[in-house]
Parts: sequence; C-alpha cells; structure tokens
Amino acid sequence: MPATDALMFFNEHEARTFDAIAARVIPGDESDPGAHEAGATIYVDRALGGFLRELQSFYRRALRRLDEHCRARHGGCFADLAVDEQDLVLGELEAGGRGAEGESELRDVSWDEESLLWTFFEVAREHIVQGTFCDPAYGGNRGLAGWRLIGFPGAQWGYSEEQMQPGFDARLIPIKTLADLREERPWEKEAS
Amino acid sequence: MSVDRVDAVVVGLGAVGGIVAEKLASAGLRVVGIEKGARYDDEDFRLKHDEVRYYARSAIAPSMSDDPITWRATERDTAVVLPWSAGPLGVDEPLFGMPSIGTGGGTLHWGGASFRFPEAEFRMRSAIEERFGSKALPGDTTLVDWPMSYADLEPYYDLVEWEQGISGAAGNVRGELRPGGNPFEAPRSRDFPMPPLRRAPGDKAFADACSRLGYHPYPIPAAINSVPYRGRAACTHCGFCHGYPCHVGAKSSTHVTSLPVALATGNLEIRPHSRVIQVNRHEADGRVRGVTYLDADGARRELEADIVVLACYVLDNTRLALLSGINGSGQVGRNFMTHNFGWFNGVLPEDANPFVGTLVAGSAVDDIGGDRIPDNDEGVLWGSPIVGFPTDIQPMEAVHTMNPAAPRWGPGFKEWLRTNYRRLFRMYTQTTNFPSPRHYCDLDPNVKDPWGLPALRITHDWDDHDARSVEYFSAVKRRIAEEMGVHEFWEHDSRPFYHLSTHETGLHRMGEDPAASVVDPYGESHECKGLWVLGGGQFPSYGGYNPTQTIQALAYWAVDHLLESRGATMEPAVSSRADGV
Repeated sequence: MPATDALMFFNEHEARTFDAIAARVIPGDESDPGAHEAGATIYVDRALGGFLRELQSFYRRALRRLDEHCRARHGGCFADLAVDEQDLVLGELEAGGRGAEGESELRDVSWDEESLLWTFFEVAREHIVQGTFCDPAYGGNRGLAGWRLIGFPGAQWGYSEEQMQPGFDARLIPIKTLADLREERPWEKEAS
Repeated sequence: MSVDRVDAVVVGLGAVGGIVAEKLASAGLRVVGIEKGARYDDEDFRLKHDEVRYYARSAIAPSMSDDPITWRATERDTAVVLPWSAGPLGVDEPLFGMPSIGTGGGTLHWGGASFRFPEAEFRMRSAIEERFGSKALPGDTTLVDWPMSYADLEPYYDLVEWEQGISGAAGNVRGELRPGGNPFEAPRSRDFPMPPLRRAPGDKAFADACSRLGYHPYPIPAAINSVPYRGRAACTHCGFCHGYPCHVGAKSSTHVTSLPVALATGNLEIRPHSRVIQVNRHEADGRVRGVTYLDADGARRELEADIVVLACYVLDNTRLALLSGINGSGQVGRNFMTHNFGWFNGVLPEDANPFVGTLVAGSAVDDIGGDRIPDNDEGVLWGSPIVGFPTDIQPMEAVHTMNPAAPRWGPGFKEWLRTNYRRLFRMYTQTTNFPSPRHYCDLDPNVKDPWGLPALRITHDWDDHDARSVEYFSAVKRRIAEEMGVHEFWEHDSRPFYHLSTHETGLHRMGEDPAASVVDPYGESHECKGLWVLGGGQFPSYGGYNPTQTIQALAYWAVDHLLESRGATMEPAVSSRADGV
C-alpha cells in the first residue's frame, strides 16, 4: 500500500492491519506482486467510504476485535505479529467459518460476536480478491498486478479471430483498462 | 402522451414485454410500458467491461433489500431472505439471484442460450408414462402435457429467431438433416438467420471429445449476432457477456430489438423506475380495469386499460397476481420448477483463455436429452443436453467457482489461480424437476418490501429424482472430461445450496381447465378477462433447455391471438435473410 494514497475511511492503524491481512491472503513481493502491491487495501478503503458504507461499523468492530484476539493469544496486535503467526491466526479464522462438510458456511453467517471474526475473514478475503482483480479505476489492481498474475487481458473491446484460436498466448495481448477504452472511444470508429 | 387511460398496459419491458409492446404498438394500439428499472440506451453500456460493477455489485439486477424473496425448504421451516444471495458480502451471485431489470429486463444479463424445446418436451407426462409406466413418476407430481404441440409453436419459434436475431446451425430443416447442426432437433421450417458465433478456444476440446465418444456436438444456438443483423452490430467476442449488458447491441436484448420499433410507431410510452403494485378489476364482471403503480417519485398512480399484460419475471408475475387477489382457483404459485445446473468445473491440459468470446460460443450434445435418456438403474426419467461453458469466466467469478479443495488464501491460492485460470472449463446440465404440491410460492407472512408489501416466499427442496439426475449426468460429464484430458475437476452437490436459478417456471400454469391452471393456452387469465400473464410461469413441465426462446415464442403466440381476437393482425417485421442485413 503506497503511503502516498489518501485514506477515506481507515485510520492509519486500521489500514496497516488490513494491509497485513491482504499481504497474507495473496502474498507477493516487488518481483511477483500480491494483494498488498496491488493496492487492495486502497480499494477496500475507498469502497468503505462509498459503495460499502453499510459495512463501516462491521469493519471497524472486526479490526478492533482481531487485535484484541491477537494481543490476548499472541502478545501483539495483528500487524506486529510475525508472518507465520499471522498465518496461524488467519487459519483459525478460516477454520471457524467452515461447516462439517468443509464448505464455507458464509450463507448462514450471523453478526454476533461469536462469528464476527470468521465472518470478517470471509468478507475481507472477498474484498481483497476484488481489490486485486478490479479495474484499476477502483484503486486496486495497481500496475495491473492482479491481471498480470493470472493472464487476464482486462477490458478489451473485443478479440480477433487469431486471438481466439486454441493455444494463442493471451499474454501477448496488451492489457487494457476502462480508462484506456474511454480514451480510445472505439464506439466512434465502429459508427463511422 | 400523459394519459390515465390507454389501450394496453405492459408491465415489465423484458424478454416478453418488449415483444408484446412492439406488436401491440405496431398494430396501432396506444401502449404504456411500466418498468421497475431504468430506461437503457446503447450509450449506457459502452464501458460495461467491469466485473466489480456488474458482478460483485450487481448493477443491473434487483437487490434483496428492494425486492426481497424468501425461501424455505419445507413448510416446517421459517423462510429467510435468499440466504445464498443476501450475505454480508454484498455479492449477489448472478446465476442464483434474480434476473436483471430495466428496459430489456432479463435479456440484458442473459447468456443468450436459445434452444427450441423438442417435440417430446410438450408431452413429457405422456412420453414418460408410455415408456416407463404410469407408476414411474413421483406419486404426488402435478405434471401435465402442454396444451399445444411443438408444431403449433414452430412458427413462433421462427419469429423469435428471425425478429430477435438468433445465430446457429440448423440440424433439421423440414425433416432434412443438415450436417453441423443438432441431429436431434425438432424439424424447423427454415435455417437460422445467422451462422453460429465464432467458437471459443476451449470449445474444440469439448466438441472433439464428445465426437470421439460418439455424441453429436452442435453449436449452442445464440441470441447474439454473429454478423451484423437488422441494423445491429456483430459480436466483438469481448468476454463480458453473461451477467453483463452488451456494449455494441449485438446481444438480443429487447431494449435494442423490439422497443426501438415500438417507440418508432409513436404508440408506446415507457414509464421507467415505476412499480406496479396491483392489478385492478371491474367489480361488475371481474374484467381487468388497469393497474395501480408507484411512479418514479414514489407517488401512487392509476392507469386504466382493457388489456393488461403482466410480463415480469415469473416470480414477480406471481406476486402481482397474489397481491391483487386474482387467485380464485388457488392455482397461482403452484407448480414451482427451477433448474439444477449440475455445475462441473475442470482444468484443461492447455491454456484455453476462458475470457475471450461468449459462453454460448460453445457446443452442446443432445444425444441423451429429454426422451432419449437411456434405460438406467438410477430411475432417471428424463434427460438433458450437456452444455459446454468454455469461456466468459472473469477473474472474480473464477475465484467464486474455483476448486473447493484448493487453498483459499496464501501462496497456494495465488499459485492455483496463476496456473489454472487460463485453463478453466465448465459444463452444465439442466435436469428436470417434476412439479409437486410441496413446491410452491405464496406471500411471506413476515417479510415485506420497503413499500410495505409482502415478499414472495418460495417453498422448495431438491427431490430424489433431481439428485439422481444430477448424479447420472455427472458420470457422463466425467467421461467427457476424461476424454478432454481433464484431471482436476470439481462439481456442485447434487442437491445444491441454491433454489433460484434465473430459470424459474410454472407458478401461473397455462391450460384449458380453469380449475387446474391460471391462464388459458394463449396466456389470458381464466378468472380475469383482459389480463394476460405471460412468461415461463406458463410452462406445465420443464426439461433441460434454457427457457427464454420458448418464453418469447409464447409471447408472439399470445399477442398474435390477442390481436386476432380484436380483428387485427400481427405483421412479421422480417421475412427473409435479405431483410435482415
């Protein structure tokens, strides 16, 4: 998470905590970016300031509860734990949300304290995925890190016959964003 | 035009309402179309390539907070707002929620799979009893044959294909088999107006494997222009198709096919962001008198007309009939049917780029569809086509549908996506569920929408025949997958968590007998003359084919009859391929 971005909802500590979670959900480094390098935390911060505003108190409560849990069980707040301890905590949260058959029980979650943390893990994971694979216009997927990771060419107006052949190396297709399309205005070319 | 009395009111301007509005307006009737969602034009969707907006945030689908639907498995349970669609994530899974709203309705979001129902689908009950005996069907099923045959509906299927624009390869033209098409399709009077769409990369592996196994793959008929047609552009194969509106108007959505024609007559007024809350009737004779609706500002308004057409999604049609007290026979809301997709996901041995092209740029096999189900020990009475889903899988959708045995976070999660995303392939079937008195919809006694009106409640659980059918076809899919070289695969449970598929049918069944059906074979209410209730709700049975083309054929059939009964005629808008281009 570049420190130059303004925050719209998280305070510094919340942003640091959430970014530490993002860095474990999709790990990365400079040469092989993950959710932290993609700016997933900035995506989530902006979403909480707007579209997801109804989840503000949920996020705030859960991040505080996570730190309480980590201080009681591991002697420090989540962001200060060693990476393997962070993984241990996240593994506990994930396991808490699993049913007898190993499937996510998300559809049955309630908002009470018992399930707050594992619900939060599922919500955070979902939003970290969104922040990694969204169009960069949303604040995440910086440097197209998410799309480059999996080989997704992004917002293409269309694909050619050659690009649709079995075996075509899609990594040769220049990745495009919504901003690129808006600048190119392909609809005007089609009309003329 | 600002009137409180018109010739006809069409409620919902989607797959059905667009067609009805076009044909009534073209015949000279003054029509008002009332649409819950927005009024859309091409320009609205130029930058639709946005998975957050359309998938994660369901930009064009109704939300469970504004349009709650509740579900319970049995009468012993208390229904809850669709638990798989109203979680804390704010994510509505498009395949398991409600169809899109706004002009175009469900034809905005749909994938465009456009199958005609073969002959046997119109007489499922008779066909099963003739072959398996009268005791084979579940004892409590209310399954009946359709009140018309395939041959009756064929001219209207033809209208859908030529007016709405369907691309495909004919397999049987007037009894003559054509190479490349579906050899099991019912005879059609002529070819499709457009050739099939360009194939998605992953389709070749599926089609070749099916051929080697002795099946007969054919291109999925698609409501998407493969070439420019009727003033609309050809598909660009952008890969944001099902769940997304089309950015070039190539997808057959009624906001680009029918509504422009209707508006050009000057006889249609569209009132968007308006919700019909009641159908009104004349006290004297019970005939329809019009509708009450909430306009875009929330003000309560009345509109009078001798013709009212309910053309909403089947669940909304049903709710409106119930809210209006039009259910003297007690038949409204009975015979709930839906599709169990039997989702099969796998990893291909090579990259197949499942983000180029549309999901209907794949193939299907019909060898064991419908009445061609082989004799079997599992007791499966009706078959399904097996449909390839080779592409149109965006990154977040891929995460949602990924292998549940793979790590869900951490380095393993990242590596799984990096390695496998470009190799994903899916297959589905749509197995028959027989209508039962245990599966129905009524008004929820507890849950209300923001306007204080009761939500619709679904009571449904998967039956043994549903589960056995999914398991039977799972074995077939596994064989195809093995032949494709797929070693890693995963499947939905045969009794999946969802009970809503955007493919619900039944609920306002058509039939001759007013005591056993809601509408007559043309779609007019038995009980309230002048009220037409159209859509998948009319279906008396439900096989393995996507419903929309038959829903649209029934809409043309209805409006043809409606106009004929008033001494008018329904003029076709296009008659030959030359007219189209």
